[in-house]
Amino acid sequence: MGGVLIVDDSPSFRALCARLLIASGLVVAGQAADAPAALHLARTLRPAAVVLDVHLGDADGWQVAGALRALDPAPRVVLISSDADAGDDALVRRYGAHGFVPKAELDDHNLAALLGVADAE
Amino acid sequence: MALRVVIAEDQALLRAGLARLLADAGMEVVGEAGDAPDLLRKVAAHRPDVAIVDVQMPPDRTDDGLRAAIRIRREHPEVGVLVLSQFSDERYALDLIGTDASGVGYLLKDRVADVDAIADAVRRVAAGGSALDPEVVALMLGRRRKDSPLDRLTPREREVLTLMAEGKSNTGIADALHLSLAAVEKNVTRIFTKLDLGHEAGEHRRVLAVLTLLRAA
Repeated sequence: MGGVLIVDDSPSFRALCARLLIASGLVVAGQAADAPAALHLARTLRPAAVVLDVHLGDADGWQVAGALRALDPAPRVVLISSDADAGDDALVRRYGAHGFVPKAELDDHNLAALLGVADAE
Repeated sequence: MALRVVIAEDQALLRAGLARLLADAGMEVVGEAGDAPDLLRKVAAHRPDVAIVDVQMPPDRTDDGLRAAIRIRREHPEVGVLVLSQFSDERYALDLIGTDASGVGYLLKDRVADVDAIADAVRRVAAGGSALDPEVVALMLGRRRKDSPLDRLTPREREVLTLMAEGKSNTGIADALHLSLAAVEKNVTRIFTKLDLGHEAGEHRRVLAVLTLLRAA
């Protein structure tokens, strides 16, 4: 158990994000394209951290974040979005997440740091 | 020698992931650009074998990448151009190819999930060939008129024609369809005869011949 679960509806984002995390020495526990798959994989794989797109088809990533944080054990959750206005510190606090990063500002270094998995395991 | 590649993609994480993917495939990433003007500068400075270009990039985030790619093809014909697009847009692909299908590719961005497919496309484009996304080819084949010359083809010949349009060599087609090279060559000859196409040497020339036919069909 442990590692990172990547949740994003774009296959290209999931594939490249996974490649980078692996190159940084992290373990990718799994990938999901929508909210039900994300919650199912989080329950079965028990990742240490989840990188989660705010826009998941019909679902709201913040609600998914709240559900993930209610799991026991609860993974760290970092939300991302191509829309810089899709999140802020208040939402991060309300849903018990660990950060929000617009995709324009996201790179392999700040993602790995926010996921906190380097020192969590 | 390793293929030299310049990458243009505005999202830093995707750019870094793409760079890692290409490096893992044995290529050398000599430049990374985050917008269209930066791409044009880096292509001029590095003269890479291939420029890999995202369609939607700053400053306008519409088709800046596509326009830069078309400009690179005009100003640096020795540089192969592989465009990655969010959408299977037939018009974008045809605008990019223009009247010359050599050293050019148009793939859906989600193909990057398949390392072998993307690496194969980069190598083909670097070698002066073409790489057209299967989904774009399927779109073009799907909306033909009634009484199209394509109706003369057998199902097998249609499969071969589809892979020809994607830019695959006869060897590549043989691998994809689990046929012998001789069988593929026979199919290709029959297709060219049935469709009244001049028999073109070189994969990129026959890509153009097939695209011209599909546009008219």
